[in-house]
Amino acid sequence: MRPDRSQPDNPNDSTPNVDSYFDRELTPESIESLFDSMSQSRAKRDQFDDTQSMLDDLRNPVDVPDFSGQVLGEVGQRRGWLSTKGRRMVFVGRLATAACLLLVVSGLLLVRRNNPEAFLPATTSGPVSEFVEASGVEAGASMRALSEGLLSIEEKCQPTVKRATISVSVCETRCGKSRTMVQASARQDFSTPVSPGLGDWLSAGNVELTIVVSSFTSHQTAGPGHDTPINNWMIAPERSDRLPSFEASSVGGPRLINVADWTATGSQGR
Amino acid sequence: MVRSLERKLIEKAAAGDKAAAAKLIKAHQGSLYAYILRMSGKPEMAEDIVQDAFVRVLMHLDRFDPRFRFSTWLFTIAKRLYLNANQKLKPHYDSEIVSSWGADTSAPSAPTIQDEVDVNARGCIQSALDALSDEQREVILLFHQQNWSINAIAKHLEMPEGTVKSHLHRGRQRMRRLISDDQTQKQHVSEVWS
Repeated sequence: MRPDRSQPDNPNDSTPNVDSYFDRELTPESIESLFDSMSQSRAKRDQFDDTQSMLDDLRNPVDVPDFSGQVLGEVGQRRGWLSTKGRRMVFVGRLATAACLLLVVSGLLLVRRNNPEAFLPATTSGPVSEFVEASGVEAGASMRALSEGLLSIEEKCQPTVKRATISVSVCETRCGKSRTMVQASARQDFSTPVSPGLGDWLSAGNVELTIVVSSFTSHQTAGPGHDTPINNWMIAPERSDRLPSFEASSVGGPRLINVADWTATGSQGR
Repeated sequence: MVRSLERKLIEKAAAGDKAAAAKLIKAHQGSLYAYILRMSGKPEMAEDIVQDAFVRVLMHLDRFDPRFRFSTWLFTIAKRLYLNANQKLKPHYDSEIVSSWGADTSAPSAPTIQDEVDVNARGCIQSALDALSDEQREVILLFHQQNWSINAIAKHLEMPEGTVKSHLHRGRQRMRRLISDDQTQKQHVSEVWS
């Protein structure tokens, strides 16, 4: 029996280990050093040769049968293969489905924005015939809202839009527990609804404002439009400078004022 | 195979392109078959496992994560199939072996000297591989036969790199000793025979 040559001759040998070579851990310089040391050590050389020969045998190519025919046949039976034309049709179909889905979601969002009540469930019970009848009406209303929404988008996209169109917009300022609500509605010649911020459109001069001041003392609770006696209302001191003319004129309840007037007297607070 | 090209082939095969699937199979069948053949030592078993592995992979190409190598995924599936097959393997009884031997009436072709040398070498290597533990055998094959890195093997086998290196060294050492003993024994036999 031949001696075990896995270990180097001398444990204190500082030259690279044969195993490190087969671990692919040596640098070109170390490999050179290893080969130099092998020329002086028969045991090391034998160990190297044996390992190299063994690994060569391990890497020897084997006769490989072709699996493609059997595998493709079996997969074809279970799943089927598509031609180039078929794959293209599948791709177009997926694209079309995605586009349809996007269109439906956009439509629903538009309807919801312009007619939020269309999505609210009925609060009272009634016969089915009424429900069917109402569904038709609601569907018609939804379609009208959708078409109006689309018209609005179309109008926005045109470069010559004459004025901003405003239906309802609410500005709310808070100071502690006081709250000031400003509601604005468009004049009758502006009918298409959009919701702009209060900043830019106030200076347009063509908007009628219904201003409701809903500033309350801390012991009261009320919301905008609440019919609390006007005597109990108070303008928050921090805000009163912003609505100088309004404070005087609004006593007695909400009223319509022309935004041009308001802007002239109240814009210094903005 | 270049990874970008391989990814394109995978995408096409997943979309139903038969030619792309065939290219994928041909690119990997050699290494996978050699690996499973060395792991099992049984050509019939290796063929079944490789075929099954490819079918499974092609059926579920949509689940392939492109962050990883395709070969890693393929080898993982093949290894699981090999382990399952090993568990199900039943022992052969003498009567079955005798009857199958008797039934084989085809005349064997005359082997050349080179064939004999190759068969001996392969048999010797396979015997040495069979004597290793499962981990040692797998690490030796993945590193030396499939040229995987230590890092890739560690991830594949879910073990630290140090453990992989330890299996590699011990496995190589053991194989070397077994082959050396076998050659010495054959030398003694030939001396006695002559």
